[in-house]
Amino acid sequence: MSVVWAIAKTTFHEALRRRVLNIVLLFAVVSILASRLFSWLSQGEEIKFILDMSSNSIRFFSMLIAVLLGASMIPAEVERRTIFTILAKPVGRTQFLLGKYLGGVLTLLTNIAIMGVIYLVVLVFKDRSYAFNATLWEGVLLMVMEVSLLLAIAVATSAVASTPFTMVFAFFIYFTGHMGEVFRQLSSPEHVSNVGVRMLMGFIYAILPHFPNFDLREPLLLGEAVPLFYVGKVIVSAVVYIGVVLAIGHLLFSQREF
Amino acid sequence: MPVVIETNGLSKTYRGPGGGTPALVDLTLSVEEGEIFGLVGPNGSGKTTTLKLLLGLLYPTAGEAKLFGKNPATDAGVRSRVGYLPEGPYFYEHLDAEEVLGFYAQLFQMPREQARERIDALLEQVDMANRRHVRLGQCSKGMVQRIGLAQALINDPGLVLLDEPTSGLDPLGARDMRNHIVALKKQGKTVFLCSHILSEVERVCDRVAILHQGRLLQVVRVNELTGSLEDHFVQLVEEAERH
Repeated sequence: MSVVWAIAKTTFHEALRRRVLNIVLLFAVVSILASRLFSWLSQGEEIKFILDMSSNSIRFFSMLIAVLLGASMIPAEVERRTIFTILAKPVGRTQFLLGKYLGGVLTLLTNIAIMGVIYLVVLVFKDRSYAFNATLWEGVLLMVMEVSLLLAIAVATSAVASTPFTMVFAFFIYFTGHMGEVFRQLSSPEHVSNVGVRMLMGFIYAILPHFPNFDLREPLLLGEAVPLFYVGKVIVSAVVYIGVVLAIGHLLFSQREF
Repeated sequence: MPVVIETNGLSKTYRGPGGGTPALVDLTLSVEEGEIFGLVGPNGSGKTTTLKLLLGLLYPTAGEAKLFGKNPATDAGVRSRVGYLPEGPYFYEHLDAEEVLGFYAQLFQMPREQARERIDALLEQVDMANRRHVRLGQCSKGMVQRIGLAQALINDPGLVLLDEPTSGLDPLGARDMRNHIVALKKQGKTVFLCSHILSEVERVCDRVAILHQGRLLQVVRVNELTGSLEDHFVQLVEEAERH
């Protein structure tokens, strides 16, 4: 574990120094602060405007950080040849991949924590009661799981693919992962008569991550409570999905030559 | 003397159109404990490919490589007895010399106190003790090369693999590197050195394998050569090209 931790720490420290990620974080902070400034646009529903815009900002910029970070993780090590001296040590490829992933998760957690604190401050100044709303923080927790899953997809892809390809692939999975309902409908006989197409759509629906499950904005804006069972179920399914994705990444990475 | 490196029919063909490019063909050699063994050849002769196969960074198309009797590709544990300095090494630029060595010590799961002592000794050995807090991004090529040597020795390995260790160094830096290599032999370590600078190899190596277009032409004992290694090398390569 100490080998994985050593790689994770170095990955984390390096990521904190990456200018592009810091710029994305800056945009996120500005966007959350701006939600307070522009809340007058929705007179009478300012708090909903802040909740909606801030949640959207954190989700969007975290997703961006996950893809930018994950896509360059392994290719950068190969291009700079730092991977040679690391894999020449008694470091298994599983340990290397896990270390890179955990370093990425630490980076995401740090960035989301910074955004979360700004979010909290904005809410405290507007309406203290919303700052400690359970649905709001359950939403942030699921957002962490969502971007951790996206990061796993990017890291696993980057184990064998270039940075640009990985970025395109990760964005593609993210956006199609939001269209799960479309694939589900296309897999039913009511909408499609061709059995082959239905099976294909059903297969895509089964293997795609269902990103909308992580989104608690609607109950948050409606003031509804979300059962803890639901939150737990989504977290467990995300952890399983991450495990499967990283296992596939490891299979591909173990075949790779340097 | 026990055999430290052993290759039997080791071959590597890089995949590509038309069946791929053979980079190494049927390499069979053995390196004994305590010797400095040189692998020389022109650029593209298969030196770095051989090193990467020995480290498990590449997988052989045919044949096998063994370090201390074990396959380095399948037995990561054997790499705990090996040190490796790649050509033109590059390390995380945001770390300083001490942090870089600390990172590599962690990869060997070295206890903190032992790592501290080892890092101090190595920084002293490569003359970086006074510049231990200089970030790698601000180091000269010679300094990076010295840190590279130090990281290769962090685990006090029995076998040290060096890829073009004097490449890009000024004459003083190259001389220092030669001295380090000779000192490693005095400590009882086995050194496997890849280089295309024949004069350097001739000065430090006990035996030299000559590679050309991925094929082993000859293994010679340096002190048995009647002329210079360079003359011998040129003669062998020209003969090989005529055939």
